[in-house]
Amino acid sequence: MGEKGRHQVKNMGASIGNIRSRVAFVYLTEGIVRYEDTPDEMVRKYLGGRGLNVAYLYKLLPENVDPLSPENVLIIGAGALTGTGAPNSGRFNITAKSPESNILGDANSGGFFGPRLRGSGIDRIIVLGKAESPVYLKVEDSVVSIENAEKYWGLDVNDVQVAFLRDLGPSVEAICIGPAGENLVRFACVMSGIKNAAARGGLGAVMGSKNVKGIVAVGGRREDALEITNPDGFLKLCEKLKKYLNDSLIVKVLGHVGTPLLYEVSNHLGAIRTRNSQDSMFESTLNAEVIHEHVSKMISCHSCVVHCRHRNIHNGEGPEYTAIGLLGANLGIADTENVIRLNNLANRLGLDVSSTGGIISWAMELYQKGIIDDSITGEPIDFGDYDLAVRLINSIAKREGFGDVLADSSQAAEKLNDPDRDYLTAVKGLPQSDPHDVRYIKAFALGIATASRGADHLRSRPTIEVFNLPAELIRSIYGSDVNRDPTAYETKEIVVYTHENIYSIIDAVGICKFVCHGFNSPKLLKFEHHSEMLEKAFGAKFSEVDLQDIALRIVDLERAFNNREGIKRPDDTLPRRYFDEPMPHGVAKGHKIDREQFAGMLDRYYKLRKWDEEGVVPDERVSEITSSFSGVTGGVEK
Amino acid sequence: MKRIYTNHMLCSGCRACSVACSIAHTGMADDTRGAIRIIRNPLEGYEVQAVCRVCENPECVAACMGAALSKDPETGRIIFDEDRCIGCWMCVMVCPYQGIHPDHKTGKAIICDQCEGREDAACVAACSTGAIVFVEIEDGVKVES
Repeated sequence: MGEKGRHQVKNMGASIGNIRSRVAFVYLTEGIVRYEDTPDEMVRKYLGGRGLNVAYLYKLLPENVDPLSPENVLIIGAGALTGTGAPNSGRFNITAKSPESNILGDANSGGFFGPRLRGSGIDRIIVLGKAESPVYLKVEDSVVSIENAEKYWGLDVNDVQVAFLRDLGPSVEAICIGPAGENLVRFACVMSGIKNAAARGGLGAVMGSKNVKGIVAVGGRREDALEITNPDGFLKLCEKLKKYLNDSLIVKVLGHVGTPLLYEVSNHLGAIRTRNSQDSMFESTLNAEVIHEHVSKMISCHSCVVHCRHRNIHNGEGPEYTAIGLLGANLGIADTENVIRLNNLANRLGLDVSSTGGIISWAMELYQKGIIDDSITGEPIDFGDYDLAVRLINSIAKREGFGDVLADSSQAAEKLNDPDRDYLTAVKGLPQSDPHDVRYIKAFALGIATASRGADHLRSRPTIEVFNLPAELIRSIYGSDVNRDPTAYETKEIVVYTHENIYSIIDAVGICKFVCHGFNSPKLLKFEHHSEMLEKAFGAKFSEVDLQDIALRIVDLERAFNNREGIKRPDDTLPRRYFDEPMPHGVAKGHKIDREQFAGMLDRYYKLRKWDEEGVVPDERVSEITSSFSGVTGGVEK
Repeated sequence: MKRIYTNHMLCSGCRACSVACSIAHTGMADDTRGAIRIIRNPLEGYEVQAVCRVCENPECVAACMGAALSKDPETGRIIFDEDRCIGCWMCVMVCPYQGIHPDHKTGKAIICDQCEGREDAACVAACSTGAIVFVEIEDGVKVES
């Protein structure tokens, strides 16, 4: 046990053991890098990944700064178990104020960068200020250096990574931005590999605004790597969990066809967002088995037991369900190959496919309704036009012509003559990521309304309460009985609350949601498993109660951050269409969201969270959960 | 004697094998210190396991100038004496299978010891697709296409 571990034994409650949390503060304006270990108390309270990222953001970011100004703070942080070899432990978070929504921007990504970052001796990088000219950050032997990136600027996502491999050796793993990030497109993402993306909230634009093309982790000396406290015990545990997970049906199915399996489910329900949610059913050409005809192999992120990522035969990876929904059905494009090609194009340019599809479809409907015309768009923009979609995606990334308008995402509302965003499927300025129309499943609707980064399904995605599961199991998950009817409003606040808590811990430990309890499955890895892995890997002691407390803290702090940026109850709402227009097809036909019932659901949700009726986290709670931040100094030079 | 066999068709490229190898042999979670590596290039679209194939007439042993590598006449295993390794990388250059790896930070080579002394090979236990197996040499290995 190292120094930290010995020190922690004295503490009551959670103990962090040998969890390493080494932070590099990169001051771009001054051109210097400083280092500091996260104070133990902060690790105890926020664990890692998304948790520690939001803690640092809250501490370091002044209120109401322009997200694309040098004042914004960009944080790249690994989860507590990232890179340990625990099942699906490849994940990390990128966090900043979002230029798309102007609130919390936080995106989680898989791939291989997170583990290599930790193997290089650094667990979190906090980027401040702005470089004078293009740079990249190199991480090697526990040192972060600021390097000239003039020759990489302008390259797309694939080409710049090829160049990194060529110039820095075969062990490098990188995150980077493409042309979209360089051109400050408000929904540019940070990419790693061909398809892994920290996609949501425009964090690629934040990186671009700081003149940072990418971060390259090269590796380290033996002592820079993560030390496993109980190697044999941890390996045995990982093997046991691997077998447990591989026996799961959902893991098997995801490994076979990936997330496109959800397309047919939503379509059958009459809930696949189609032509900007004017329709809710689309062609079977985007069903998983049709997609699979275009797949050469299913591949993985780091230490993954699922392998849900497609290598497609059109020179790319994917598509996910989000891509086929939002670049397919939602744009009215049915040809399988064309949809896959749009997905590949968006990835190469470094665009979030969810917002790309959501924003283009918004403009298409406005054009269809005559709210905008050729004088703004420059040409007819009709649903179903693949060649047009290719042109628009390219012009968005380059900020050329009409693409320059669309590149502002929800903030283009005035220019698009839709100032109240009546036709945009977004919450808090963030277009909805899930291709699922939430008017039918009410918990899902509440989930995208309360999600801390705007309309997003990866903050809760509450669906398992409607599965045909034993009542006892449901009670054990939610702590009480919940209404099993997807269209009921009662008790759905409990469902959303529970899933939000579960997801925040998943993102803090750095494990993929696809192997965790609460995402599509009532089984898989639960808090007790995370607890056991932390114990074997690092000698850390986090009970299930400790993890639950951390979950509540993360959700509360994210809300406090958003409160500070002006978010209140009126922002926790849904797109106008979801309240006013009944769904047109299938099982979901006739369903919409009742405003009064929705308000009631929100009231009950706030009560459960112990926020006030305006959705504000009480001051005393904010003081309590931020008290451990005083130890952050901004680092010292080596 | 048992030997590790790999099938790249089943490899999803996750590197769990490399990390497990590193943990088992060094206590550190670091795929760049595993004796089995996944040579993967998502941009060109391949992932292949690279691990010692325990050659009958190993080129690495013949090329080793410091006598750090030898072949156990009884078990057939390649034995590596780290203290004698001078980091000249002749072994790395002559191995036709990329089965021995340079650790540029330590200046020492890394090669598979077939998990001698362990119940099971760490990489095999970690693999979730069955892409690595540990079987008796005389049993050979059946590769499904």
